Amino acid sequence: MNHPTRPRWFAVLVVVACVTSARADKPADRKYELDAPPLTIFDRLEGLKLGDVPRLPDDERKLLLAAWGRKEQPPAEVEADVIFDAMLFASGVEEAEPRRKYRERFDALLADAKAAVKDAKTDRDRGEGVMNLLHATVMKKGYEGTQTSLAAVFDTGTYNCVSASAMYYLVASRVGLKLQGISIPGSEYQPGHASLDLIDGPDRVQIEPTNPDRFDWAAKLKRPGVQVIGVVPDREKGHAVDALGIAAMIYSNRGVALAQEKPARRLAAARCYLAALALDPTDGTASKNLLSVFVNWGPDLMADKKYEDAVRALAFGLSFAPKAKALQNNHHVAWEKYLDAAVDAGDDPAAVALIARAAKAVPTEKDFRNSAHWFIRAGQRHAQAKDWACRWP
Amino acid sequence: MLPKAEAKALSAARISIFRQWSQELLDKPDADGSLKVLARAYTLAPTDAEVVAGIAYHTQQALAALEKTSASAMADHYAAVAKQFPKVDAVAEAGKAHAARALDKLADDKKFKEALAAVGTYRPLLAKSGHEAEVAEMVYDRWARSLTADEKWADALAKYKEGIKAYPTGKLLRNNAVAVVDEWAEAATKKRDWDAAIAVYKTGLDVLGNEEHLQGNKAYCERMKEKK
Repeated sequence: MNHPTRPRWFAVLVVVACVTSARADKPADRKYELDAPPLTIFDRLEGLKLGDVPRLPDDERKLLLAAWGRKEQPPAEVEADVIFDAMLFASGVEEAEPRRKYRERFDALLADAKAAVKDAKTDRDRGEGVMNLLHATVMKKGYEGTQTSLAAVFDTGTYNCVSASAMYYLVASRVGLKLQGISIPGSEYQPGHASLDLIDGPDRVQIEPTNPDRFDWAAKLKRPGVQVIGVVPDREKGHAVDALGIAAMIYSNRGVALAQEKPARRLAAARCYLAALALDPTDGTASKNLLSVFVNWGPDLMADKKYEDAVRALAFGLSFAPKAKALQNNHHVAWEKYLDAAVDAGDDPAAVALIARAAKAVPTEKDFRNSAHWFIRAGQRHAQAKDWACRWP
Repeated sequence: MLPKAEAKALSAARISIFRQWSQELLDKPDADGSLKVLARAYTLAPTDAEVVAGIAYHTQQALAALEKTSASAMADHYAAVAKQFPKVDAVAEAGKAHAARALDKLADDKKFKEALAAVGTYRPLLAKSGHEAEVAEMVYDRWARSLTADEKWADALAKYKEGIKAYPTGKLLRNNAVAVVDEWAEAATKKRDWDAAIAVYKTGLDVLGNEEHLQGNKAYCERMKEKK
C-alpha cells in the first residue's frame, strides 16, 4: 500500500497592466480561450450560490453583447460614443446620469484639445499637442500605479498606463489621429503594460501617454545621452488592441483590484474579467485572471472547511475551461480533501455516497471509483499521526 | 455494501493498522496495551492470518521484554495472552519457542545444569502437552552430546538415562542414546576387537534396557567373535 501523498494546490497569480515602454506592431495569433461566451458564463454565476452576483445594468449588457457580436463580424469602426461608454462602464460608472456628466467634462476637454492643436500642421504635431494638453490639465496630478479608471482621471488627475492610454486615445482620435492600442501582457514576475502607436502614414509613432516626454518615444530613446531607468516590458511580446481592447484592460485591472480586496470580491472580479472578454475576446490576461478567481477560490473555501462550496466553485471554472490544468488539479484535490473529511466525520453511508459523487465529478480518477481506498487512506493518515484511537480501527 | 475485492483490501488495511498500533505499544513497552489492541483485532477477524501472526509476534516480543523485568511478569503476561486467545495455537507455540530459545542459549554456553533448572522457570510457558518434555529433552540431548564429544561415553549414557527417566514418553533421548552406544562401539568393531565391542553393547543394554537394536548388534559381535 502506498503512503498517501499530500495533495498540492496550484495557485494562479493575477496579472495587472502598468508602467514603461516597448513596441509591438505584429498582432499575435490569438483566440478566445473559454468554452462559453462571456455573458453566458456571467449569467451562470447566480447558480454558483457563493454570494451576491453584482448586477449588470441593461445598457452595459447591451454594449457588451454588441461588442461580443463583433467577434463574428468583419472588422468595423466602433462609434466614439460607444468607446467612451465602454471605458466608463469598465471604470465602474454604471448609472446614466454620472456618465452624462463625465461626457460633459470630456466634451469640454475635447474642445480645449481641438483649440490646442488647431494650428498643428502634422499628425505628429497634433499628437504631441494632445499629450501636452492632457498632462497640463486632466492628467496633471501624475502617475499612480493602480489608478486604472478613466472616470478617476477626471476626478483625481492621476492615471496609470491603462487609464492614460484610454484618455489619450479618446481625445487624440477625436482630433483626427489614427491610433493603435498596444497591450503587453504581464507575467508572474512583471506587470503588463498598455501604450499606443500613432499611425502616421507608413510610419508608427510610439506613444507612452503616462509621460509628456514620451511622445515618439522610440525616436527619443535613440538620442545621445537618453537613458531609461526601470523595468522595460518587452514590446515584442505585446499585441495590437482596438479601443474596446483598452476598455477591456480597464475592466481587467478593476477585476484585479476587486480580487485583491480583503475579503476578496471574487464575483465582482469575475464580472469585470467577463466584461473584458466580451470587449476583447482574445485578452489572455482577462482569461487567465478569470480562471484564477476559481483556481484560488477553491483552496480558500477548503481552508474554511466549506468543501461543498469549494468543489462547486472549481467545477464552475471547469465548466467553461475544462482543459485548465490548475483547475483540474485543484478540483481533484478539493474532492480528495472533501472525501477525507467525510470519512473522518464517521457517517460511513454518507461518505460512500459522496465518493460516488466524486467518481461522477472526476471520472478519470480511478481512486474515486474505489470506496475502500478512502477508508484505507483515512486509516493510514491516522496511523501516520499515531492517532490510533481514532474511531476507524 | 462494498465489492468483494474492496472489502478484502479494507479489511487487510484495517488489520495492518492494528498491527502497527500493537507494534507501537510493544516498542514503548506496553505489552498489556498491545494485548488489548490485538484483542480488538481478533474480535473483528478471528481467523485472519495477519491477526494470528500479530498475536504470535506479540507473544514472542512481550515475553522477551518482560523476562528482563521478572520471570513472574513474563509468566503472568503469557497467562493473560493464553486466556485472551484460547483458540490460537500460535500462542502456545510462541511460548514454547521462547523457552526453547532461552534453554538453547544456556546449552550453547554449556550451562546444562542451569538449563535443566530453567525448565521449571519456563514451565508456565509450556502449557501444551509435550512442550515441557520437548524442550527438556533438547537440554538432556545437548548435554549428553557434549559428553560424547569428549568421548565420555558412560557419562553420556548416564545423562540419557536420567533424561529418559524424567521424561519417559519421549523418543528423542532413547533413539540418540542407542546411537551413542553404536558410536562408542565403533572404535572396537573397526579393530575387530569383538570382546570390547560386546562389552560396550552390554553396558548399553544395562543402561537402556532390552533395546532390540542393541541386542542385534551385540549378537552380531558375538557371531563375529566365534568366526574369528
